[in-house]
Amino acid sequence: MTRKPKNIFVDGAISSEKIAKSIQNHSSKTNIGAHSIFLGQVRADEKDGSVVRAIEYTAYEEMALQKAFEIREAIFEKYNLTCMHIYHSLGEVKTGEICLFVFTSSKHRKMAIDACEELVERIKNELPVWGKELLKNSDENWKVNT
Amino acid sequence: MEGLTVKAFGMIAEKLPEQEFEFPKKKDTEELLNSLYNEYPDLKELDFSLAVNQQLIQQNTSLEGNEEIALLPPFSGG
Repeated sequence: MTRKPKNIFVDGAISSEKIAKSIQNHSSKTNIGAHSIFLGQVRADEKDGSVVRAIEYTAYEEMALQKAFEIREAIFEKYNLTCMHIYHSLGEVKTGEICLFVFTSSKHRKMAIDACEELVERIKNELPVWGKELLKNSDENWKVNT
Repeated sequence: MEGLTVKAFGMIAEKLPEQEFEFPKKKDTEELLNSLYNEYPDLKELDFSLAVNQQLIQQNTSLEGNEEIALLPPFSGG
């Protein structure tokens, strides 16, 4: 079976309804014994005497989707997973809202947890996505991943 | 049509007059970078990588002349 790049981008914050629905969608796949979920949340960091109120995400979308596809294939190759889902926000996401949702499912917990961790690391390091922190005093600051 | 398409992202896009523009054909990425630095000296101060047709490059790469070039500052998704 050949897979094709899927859209991973979501306009604005990822809602808790979307996350709940995604979990619910797996209830019919009864060979799954473990899900691992990572949720990235926008943090109200202090910056230059002000505080982050939101992050505005932009991406080189064509390249990001191709890269996400390559990462996805590599993770499927390495770990014995039943399924894998990646959602990343574009546009403005306020502090306290979810901007990244990574979901892996497997028969047993170890595969799901390890795959989820590697996936999150690779997404942060390899996807051409940028976050601009919007501060309460109207200043802006390009986010740096640590 | 001959000519490169240059796309800028993140903070690089804010330093250039346009996010996407046409640029004359160059023989390789080194020649392209030198021309871009001449045209937009602000770029010299910035940290970025190049992608040619959506592939990140690590070294000087020859160009046919109609590629899509992207100027990519350090990624900060998630």
